[in-house]
Amino acid sequence: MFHNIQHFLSPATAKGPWVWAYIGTAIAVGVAALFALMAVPPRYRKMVVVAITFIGGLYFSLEFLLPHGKHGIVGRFANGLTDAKPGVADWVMIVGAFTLLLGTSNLFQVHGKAVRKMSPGWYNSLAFFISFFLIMIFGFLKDAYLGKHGIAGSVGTASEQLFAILFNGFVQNLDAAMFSLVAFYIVSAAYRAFRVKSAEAGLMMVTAGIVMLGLVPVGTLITSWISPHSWLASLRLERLTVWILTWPSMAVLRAIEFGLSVGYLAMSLRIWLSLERGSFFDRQL
Amino acid sequence: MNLLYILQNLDRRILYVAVAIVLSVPLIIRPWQHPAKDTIFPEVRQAYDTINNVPKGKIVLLSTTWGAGTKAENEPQLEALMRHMFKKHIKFAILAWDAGGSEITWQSAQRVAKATHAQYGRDYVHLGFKTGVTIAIASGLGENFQQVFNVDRNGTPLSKLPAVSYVKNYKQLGAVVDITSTGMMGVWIPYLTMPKHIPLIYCPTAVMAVSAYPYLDSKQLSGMLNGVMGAVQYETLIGRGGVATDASATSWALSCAHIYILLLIVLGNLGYLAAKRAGVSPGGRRIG
Amino acid sequence: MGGMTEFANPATYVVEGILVFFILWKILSARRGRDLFIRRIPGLSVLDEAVGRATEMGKPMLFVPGLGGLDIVGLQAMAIMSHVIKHAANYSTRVIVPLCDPVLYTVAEEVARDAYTTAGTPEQYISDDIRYLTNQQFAWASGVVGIQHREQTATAFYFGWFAAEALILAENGQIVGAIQVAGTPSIIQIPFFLAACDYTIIGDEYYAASAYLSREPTLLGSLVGQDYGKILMIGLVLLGVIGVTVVALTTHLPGLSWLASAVKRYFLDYFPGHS
Repeated sequence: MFHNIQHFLSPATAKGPWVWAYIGTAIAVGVAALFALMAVPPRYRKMVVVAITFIGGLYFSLEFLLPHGKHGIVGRFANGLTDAKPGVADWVMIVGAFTLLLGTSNLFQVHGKAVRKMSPGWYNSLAFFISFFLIMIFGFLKDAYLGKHGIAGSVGTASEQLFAILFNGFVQNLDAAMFSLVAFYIVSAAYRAFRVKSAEAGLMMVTAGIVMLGLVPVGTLITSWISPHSWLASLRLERLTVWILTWPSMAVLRAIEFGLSVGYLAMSLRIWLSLERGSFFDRQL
Repeated sequence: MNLLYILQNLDRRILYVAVAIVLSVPLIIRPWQHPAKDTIFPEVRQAYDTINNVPKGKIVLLSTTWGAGTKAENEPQLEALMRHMFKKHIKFAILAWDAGGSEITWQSAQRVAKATHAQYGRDYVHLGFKTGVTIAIASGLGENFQQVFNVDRNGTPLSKLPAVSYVKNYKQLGAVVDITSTGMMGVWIPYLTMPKHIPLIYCPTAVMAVSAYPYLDSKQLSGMLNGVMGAVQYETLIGRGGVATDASATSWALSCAHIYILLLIVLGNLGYLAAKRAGVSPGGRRIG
Repeated sequence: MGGMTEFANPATYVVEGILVFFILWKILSARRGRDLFIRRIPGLSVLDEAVGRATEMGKPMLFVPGLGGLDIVGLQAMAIMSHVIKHAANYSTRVIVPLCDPVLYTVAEEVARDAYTTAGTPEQYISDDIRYLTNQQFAWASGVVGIQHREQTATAFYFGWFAAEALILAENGQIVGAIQVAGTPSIIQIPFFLAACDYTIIGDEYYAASAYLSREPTLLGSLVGQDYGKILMIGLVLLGVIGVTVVALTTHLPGLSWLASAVKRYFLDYFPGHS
């Protein structure tokens, strides 16, 4: 049954006029659902939100919790839920895609206002528009001229090259440049912040020093005079580092992860059961 | 007193220029020295053994979620693994999760394939990039690989590429490698590798590697390449210990940077202690 | 390795069932009026001071919800943002919120508008202060850094999911002289925040933040339930240690190997990686 429902809702094999029929039906159903939601009296709107939230969360909970199997109603039902997962994922992606339009419109609004009013730094907003449209136009042109045997035509080739300059030359390199700032900032942060003002801080600094040196070739050189088979071999920096990372550090991380996971579970439960509180969750719809 | 003040309050611009020099010199000189075999971390060795033990007839899925920012760490990992698999004639498929990653990994794959005389389609494929709910994609590819990835990045149907034409589901996956700057363990482990008993090798940036040790301990990971150091150690294992590579150059640059940072910390603390003894208000911030 | 399935196994039912029971029990008990204690979290109790500083300096505040989208981490960031904005509204201080996810941007707009309305100052809501920048990590980080330097923000809050840009944001906040409070469930970024921020909340204090700030009974009850859950985890870890030790000691003893088999079969095999 679930296979049939899934096939009906996501008709990957539809062709020709059937594709338009499905698109038209989906739009009509969507618009009808929107009007239906707007027609719901205000005091029942919260219930609709609670119901949809619960059903959405219930799908994933049941898919995980119910025992799967080839026989029995429960097993086959659970299998159906699992089979529907790619389709559900597609729906989530489609809804997410709409919000990209909202984000882009906000960008246009903010930067458009800056350019129109020539506010301080308006040229940065102009740069946003120029780069936005350049990369969009050349990206579309490049793909429009993409044939079976690669990019065709002079327009396509020129677009591909310009897109490559913008993407590989600007975007990728700017990305790398921003990331490389971390190297500089870690130096200034370490120099400014790391003061040994207590015994615990001293212990932490020694441990950090061992791990920092043990992870790099210089560190292994420092203790390379200790034979790896001697009784002192555990004092080699790389072995000390591995011990620190695989025992005390791992135990602490595991403990923090337990706490985080329980916190995550609690918040998920509150949202699923609509128990979450706050002005956003308590507001009138 | 002046010296004490200076020791604690060096202008950050001096620090930045110095670190730029410290990092640049090894990258220009490109030392070839790789770690000795007896200094290789157990998790790197475990990753090497996992790839070595991929059964014949199965492919390796290389999931890559990195971009230009972490190229210095993740690209050497990708290259070392690809070289190993080309050498052992293990077929693999590269999958990216965004457009930038797809482009950058495609360029890396082409470069390594050219150097090792590997052929696209026969020895490896690139699946382009996939967007969407990662959980659904990860579990979906385990059930029906060719439904989730029906074409490669060039639009060629997978059925026409010998390297992956026979891959139907998880049974043809010998291992999954996650080369990442963002961490997708939480997707792979519960949704593909653990339920289907497929080994997962994790290749994060160094800063993320520390959080993977609980998973190594519980055997949910079958090896890890810890940033560029993991890559350089892996290169030693695959017999490239005497070649000057990006990984070796970067590892020596890291060495110099770590020593520089430790020196700065010592300098700052010496200044702090001396200022405290002199009764002057010490600078810096408290930790611990 | 036993007990590893894509779906729940009996251990999952038991552990999750008990965790859910603890959380719901404590929520119900808090709703019935039971007084619950929560210890002081320095990073959160400094909220007033941080808002006050921005007001004195006449500069805006920055609330950075991180890279995440509309998930649990993002929603918690929105809950904290709501409190920050309500406090800021009392002092007529601007709060700028640069966002990295378009879905979260739509929620942030609503949350901000509601927060200003709840504080009684809906006219203070400026739509341009809730900005979607880009969904690319470092492009977003450079945008946030630009805002910090142009607006000379006096206070910065970093609550959400952060990756490598955490240090970039925090160091630039240091450069402009902002008082900085950070909280993230991303464990590996916490050391960077600790080095560069004035206050950092660690681990599951992040999820306790909304309960701490609002003192709402449901949220407090949930927090206490979480603590009970952590006690359960500690108990499980201890049982696991005892179980593995018993197996190691008795496996090769002729009269007691049945004990090793029983412990493995009825307990350890439900959890991964015990070998």
